[in-house]
Amino acid sequence: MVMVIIEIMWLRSGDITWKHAARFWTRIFAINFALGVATGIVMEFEFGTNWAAYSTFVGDVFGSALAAEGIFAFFLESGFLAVLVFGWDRVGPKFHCFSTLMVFLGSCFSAVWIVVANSWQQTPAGYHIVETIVGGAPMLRAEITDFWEMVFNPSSTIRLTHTLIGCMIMGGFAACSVSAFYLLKGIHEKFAKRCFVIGFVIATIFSLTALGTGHFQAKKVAFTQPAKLAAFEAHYETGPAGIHLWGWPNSETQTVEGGLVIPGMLSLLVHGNTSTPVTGLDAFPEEDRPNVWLPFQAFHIMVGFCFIFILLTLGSLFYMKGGKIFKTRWLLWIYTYMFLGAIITNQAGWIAAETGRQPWVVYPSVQHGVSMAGLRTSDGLSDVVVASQVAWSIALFALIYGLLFCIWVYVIKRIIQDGPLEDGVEISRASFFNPSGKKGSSKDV
Amino acid sequence: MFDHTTLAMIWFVITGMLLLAYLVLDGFDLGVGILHPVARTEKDRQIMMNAIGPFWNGNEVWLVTFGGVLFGAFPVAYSALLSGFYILFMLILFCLIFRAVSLEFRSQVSNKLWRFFWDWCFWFSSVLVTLIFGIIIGNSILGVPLSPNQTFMQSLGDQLNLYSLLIGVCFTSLFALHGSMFLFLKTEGELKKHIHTWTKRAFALFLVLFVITLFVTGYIAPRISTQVSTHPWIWLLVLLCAVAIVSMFVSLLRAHPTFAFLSSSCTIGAITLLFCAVMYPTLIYSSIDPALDLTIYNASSGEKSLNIMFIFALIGFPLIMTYTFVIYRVFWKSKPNENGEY
Repeated sequence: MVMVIIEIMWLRSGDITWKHAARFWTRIFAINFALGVATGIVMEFEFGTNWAAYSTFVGDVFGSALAAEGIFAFFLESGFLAVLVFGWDRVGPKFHCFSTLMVFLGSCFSAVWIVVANSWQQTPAGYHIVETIVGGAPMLRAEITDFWEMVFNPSSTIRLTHTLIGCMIMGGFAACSVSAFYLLKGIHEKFAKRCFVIGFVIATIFSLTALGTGHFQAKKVAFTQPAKLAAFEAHYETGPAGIHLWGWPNSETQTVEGGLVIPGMLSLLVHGNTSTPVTGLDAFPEEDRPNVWLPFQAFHIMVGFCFIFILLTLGSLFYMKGGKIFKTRWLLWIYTYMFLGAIITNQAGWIAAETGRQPWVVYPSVQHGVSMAGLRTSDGLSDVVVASQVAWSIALFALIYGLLFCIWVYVIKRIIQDGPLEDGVEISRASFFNPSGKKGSSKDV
Repeated sequence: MFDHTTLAMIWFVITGMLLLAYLVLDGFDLGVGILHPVARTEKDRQIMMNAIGPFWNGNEVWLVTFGGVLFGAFPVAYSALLSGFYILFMLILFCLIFRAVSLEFRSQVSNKLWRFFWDWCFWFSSVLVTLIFGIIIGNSILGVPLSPNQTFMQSLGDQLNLYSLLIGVCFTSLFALHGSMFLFLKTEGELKKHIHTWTKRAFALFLVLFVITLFVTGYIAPRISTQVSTHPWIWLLVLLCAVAIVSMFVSLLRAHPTFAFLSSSCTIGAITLLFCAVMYPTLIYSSIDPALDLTIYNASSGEKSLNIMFIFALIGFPLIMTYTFVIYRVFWKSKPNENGEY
């Protein structure tokens, strides 16, 4: 999104600074995308390798969403990314801008289908469970009955909006972070000021909307997955409920230790009345309850950061006038590191959503008055893969991902240190790939 | 729209086409990886890597889509294959990560040791991915101990049998050949001559291995021979392979790069079609009892979702073809240099 805006600005103004800015962000994006593809393939194959029983159960529904993602999104993204990265001088600015737009669109499609698939696991709809016979053995599986009901299942729209907004916040803060860093160092100022403003506007708008969508989403969860909401707020007993600002849930004593509570707040947010009871964990049999500590903390980290974002961005509005913010060093320092906050917030949100769903991998539901069985996470595993194989593959992945992370940090750091090209400097495309070297052949653009 | 039997067939064709597209397209960039140590200078290495720069990412997407479609259309086969070949697929995944990373990170730092490390990562992962794909295909031809609960458990030692290794090596030589054709098309001068020598070597190796593979397959896999004798038209595909190989040979002699690359693409295509034809309508042969085979009928999704996905495919694939074509046209004629220019 940030990149789309920059490219459009470049196209409209023809100003070389915009072009340099676009190149800079493309470089960062390309690295992230390469890692995304590599780790994305892992995700996709993991369904089959480690969750064979799950894949067989949901293939008809989940698989078709994934196939749609492949058909509609991936080619769009990867194909036009090639134009973005390699096509600076091979295509005109209009086509280049169009490619950026296509990559953006592809990313959105991708988010649509993957969130639809995930939401279906949370709040399944538009399906029924049938028994088929394969190789003489009966097999249960979910089959689509109504496609649009499946796509627009109770939680998909709101979760998709919330997820996209989360990504926008992250993109906005990434732009702010790098720009703030340059401003502090007093380098690339023209670039930094422009990117900062774009990032800032995006971050401000979407932090506010995130709060709204978050609220509606939580309200949805209260009805579709009450156990999950109860876990988010460590609400052990059914009754009027408050909201914890922080705390340490203890499942044995069923209390939250050392927390601060706003009484009645949860009831107010969910039912519009401070005294209406909210379903607690005691309404569910022991084996159907999620773990409380992890979703609780993840949820609170996410919400906490969202408030920090809002305070920060709204507070900074005051400093924006006349560009005062570009000289306010302490604020720029906060922005430099706030990018990390945005990453943590997105991750925490997903952790809360996924751990709160446990012990189900597909939630049980009621479809047109008929109740459908869910699928327990522990029943979704591959039964031919033994624990030791899983253990070593996890260990190896942990190692590789750790290594990748280090390299990623290193490379991103280099790109940021090199920075965008300054106006009027003769640029060589070599510097695009070989940032350190002015050794490569230079060529005017 | 269509009944289940027709849909199962349609989806078998689509899945097969995706596999074909993947092997033809990713085949050349994997091949460039396999040939990587052939490059003699730092400049050549960078040129070779840059040659596949704009393409490899998009090519891998065909694998992702193949996986997604297999999951959506034939979930039972998808689960059985991936969990049964667990270790092999995990190795493929590790290698694909390292390949992506070495392509992306090598050029970022000009330190010698750094580049040396990523060069070998790139080579090793390309070879291993190709080899393992071959091994998995080899095992599919042989059949796996599919049990009544639609999964199979087989030790890695059994999966690394001689026949599968033969297919793996044959695949590796084929991809190396295909990669060299691509480089032959994309390079100039001294490097081009050097590549041409290697193209000839790869061709000779592949030809020998391919002929051996054909004979061994006929001898070792009785169900394949039955399939061929009941469907004699499969010989036409064998003929197609032969024609493509001959045309590759002719264009190599005449040093006609575009034609040579097209012929090697056709060779891979014909071999994939041959593989699909000898399997049809089975997806996974059971070595225990033919009644336990996973076929396109009993391993597929329901009629409804196959229909919906078919509509997606009707809308999506023409679009994909169009812009893939546009993007290839942007980069097709030009040649890469060491600076990542295209």
